[in-house]
Amino acid sequence: MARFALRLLLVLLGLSFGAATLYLILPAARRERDRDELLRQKDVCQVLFIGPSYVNRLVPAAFDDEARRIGFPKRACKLGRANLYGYDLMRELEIVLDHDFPKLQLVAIDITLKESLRFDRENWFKPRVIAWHTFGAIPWLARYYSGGKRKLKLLTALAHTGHVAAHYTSLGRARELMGEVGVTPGAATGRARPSKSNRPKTHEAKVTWHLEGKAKVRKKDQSVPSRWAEELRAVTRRHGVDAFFFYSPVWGAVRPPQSTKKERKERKERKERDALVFFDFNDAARYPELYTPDVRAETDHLNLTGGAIQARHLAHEIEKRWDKRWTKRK
Amino acid sequence: MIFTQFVFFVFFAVAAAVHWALPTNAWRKRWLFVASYFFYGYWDYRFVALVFASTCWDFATGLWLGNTDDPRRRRLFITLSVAVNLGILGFFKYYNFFVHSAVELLTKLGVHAAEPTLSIVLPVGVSFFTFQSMSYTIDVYRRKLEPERRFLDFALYVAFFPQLVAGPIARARHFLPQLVETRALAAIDGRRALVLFSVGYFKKACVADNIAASIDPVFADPTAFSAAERLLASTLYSVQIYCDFSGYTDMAIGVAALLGYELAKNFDSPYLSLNVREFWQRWHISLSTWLRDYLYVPLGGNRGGSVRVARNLMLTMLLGGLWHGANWTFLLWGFLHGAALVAHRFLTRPSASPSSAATVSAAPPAMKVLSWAATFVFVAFCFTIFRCPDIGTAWQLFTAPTKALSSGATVSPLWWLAVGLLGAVHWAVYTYRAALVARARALPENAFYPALGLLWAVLLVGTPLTAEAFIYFQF
Repeated sequence: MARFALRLLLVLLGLSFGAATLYLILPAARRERDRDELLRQKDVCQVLFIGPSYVNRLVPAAFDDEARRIGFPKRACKLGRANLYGYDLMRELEIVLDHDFPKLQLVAIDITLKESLRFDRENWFKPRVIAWHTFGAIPWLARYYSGGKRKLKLLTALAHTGHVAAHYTSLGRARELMGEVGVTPGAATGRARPSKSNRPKTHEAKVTWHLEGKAKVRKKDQSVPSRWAEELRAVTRRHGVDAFFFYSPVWGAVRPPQSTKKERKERKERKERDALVFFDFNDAARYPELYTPDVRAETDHLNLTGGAIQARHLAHEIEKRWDKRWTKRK
Repeated sequence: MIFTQFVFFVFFAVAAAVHWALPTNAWRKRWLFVASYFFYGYWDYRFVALVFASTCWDFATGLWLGNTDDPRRRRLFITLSVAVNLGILGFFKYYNFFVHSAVELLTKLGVHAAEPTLSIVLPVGVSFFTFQSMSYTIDVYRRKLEPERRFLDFALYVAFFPQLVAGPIARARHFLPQLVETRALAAIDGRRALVLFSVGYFKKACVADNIAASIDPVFADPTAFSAAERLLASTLYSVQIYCDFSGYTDMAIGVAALLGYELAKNFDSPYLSLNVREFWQRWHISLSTWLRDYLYVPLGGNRGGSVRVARNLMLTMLLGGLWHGANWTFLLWGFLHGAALVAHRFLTRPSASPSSAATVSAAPPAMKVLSWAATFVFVAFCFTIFRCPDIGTAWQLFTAPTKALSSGATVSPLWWLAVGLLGAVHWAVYTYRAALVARARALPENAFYPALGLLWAVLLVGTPLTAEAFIYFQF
């Protein structure tokens, strides 16, 4: 038995050494086409929009034109990726801001999808899910599961452990690298979309449903966002820029992130100058032009016409609230 | 549960730990029986009953054959046994194929016939365990084997999980005696087993699975790809099927060895063959020898005139093709190999060259290279047909013009470089395998096991995130 244990230990030693070496040798972050596109604009970008797929529909050129027209000349750039939220968004923000954006003044983060976690079985061991399972994700996961939002089952805990192991053993990296050198298409990425089967079918029904749902949520909960937004802002501030947040015009009645009583008290005590800034476009009553059929693409998303309208709104909102502290802090 | 999946590693760790912890051989066999049925039931628990029923039937047949010397009764029993086994195969594998083909034929003849379709799920590995079971009853009938009187031993022979779903097709006379002996953990050749498993894992996960995702679209719609892409896909499929199947076999042999059992060799670097006959001596050896012993020889084998031998070869290869499944592509594959074997037989002089190996070893090097290239091209061509979902797609793959969208598409030269590199590594390992094995054995423990860990660190990087099922599971 002792001999077997020794052999196993020797194998594990070899495996750990090999995995650590390969982890250091192989390129640290997967090349993402959308990220590459963003990085090409890093020398001119002043306002960065980042978040899930809704951000993809924003039209930075429309923002630039409108900003210039109202005497607020700023250049925008964007990074939108399907289901970019939770720890994944925080990590992506870190990766992006690790690059030098010399003119960057503000990061606008779309938090429509909140600090949630979709760790469904069908998404297990997908490249993106493995990518964010770093050691840094462990405290976030611990907090997420201990917050009572979701109960951590044994199988899920094992799966998270497996993903961390997969991350540090570079599981499946050869396939990705082959894709990067153009030998084979990259492995499938992205996470499955949540089911929308209970949603109304016609456009009118969707608007009604949205307005009713939104009103209910507003009535029920007026809480300010959770610690997650502050953490995201802390990330941007570490890189010398400030952040504000926005909700995109979606069909769901997005409920703002919940805060604990203690957090709310702490915030009240905090000075106004440090308050988090939120723009809520998810309001069909206030922004009816973002809910007409001609500006909507499929299901939740705007089309590019809608994206241009929202970008122009963003130019106005940012201009109105522009704070001199929203400049580069480096 | 696939050998390359994490769940299998967990299953095997438990299975092996309990196996070696049990004090007696009887308890170990009981445990392996339970583990094997769990392994099979993990795919589809409904078919556990099928494996069990097939086992009971052939076990009983063996006993009946052993209890009578009356030739008529013996013939009756063996006929019933073969009929039941072929009936299982026929129902699950060929029912829809034959009905569909018959209806198509009748429609072409102008007769309207409604197609009675049944949604039949194919039990994993049905061809393997029925052939294995049949070989036992036939051997008992031929008095080459004493009937097994311990049900547990026979049931474990049929269901032993390393080889249950995709072979190698074990022979009872080779496997049953191993169940009698009590094995000691210290006596197993752990290094050989671990290296075999690792090599098999590399072939299956790192090579075959990575190829699968790239070539599947080409076989789904060949017209959407250029001629260069189709040629590459065709070549890569040959690499994929070899690495997939021989990788599975290597892992099966390794897993069995870690439990103290020995399974028969199933591949002997077939792509290094210099003619088709040699290829069949080195490819899926357990099936080719099964077909030889239980089909080709009873048909007459090499006895009789040329026409008779040709007929025997063609019939054997056609049925070998059909064994893979109910599809005209498999039949055509079998036909082409049969025709090639017949041609090879009559183009070479059997009296002057008793074995294929002797013929080729005497040939000049340039001739050897030509023979090798011709054999590989032929085998790859046949496998391309084998892979296509139907004859129409195969025809398209070889002849159809490319859609305008990708007519000029070329393929990365890195692919061809990778194929060449794999071939070179394969040749080198085959040629110097004795020296490599000796060197691995000579390594001290504190070098061998960390090296194994290092190897696995590399294997994990090469493992795609989604494990593909073994190609031969469907057979």
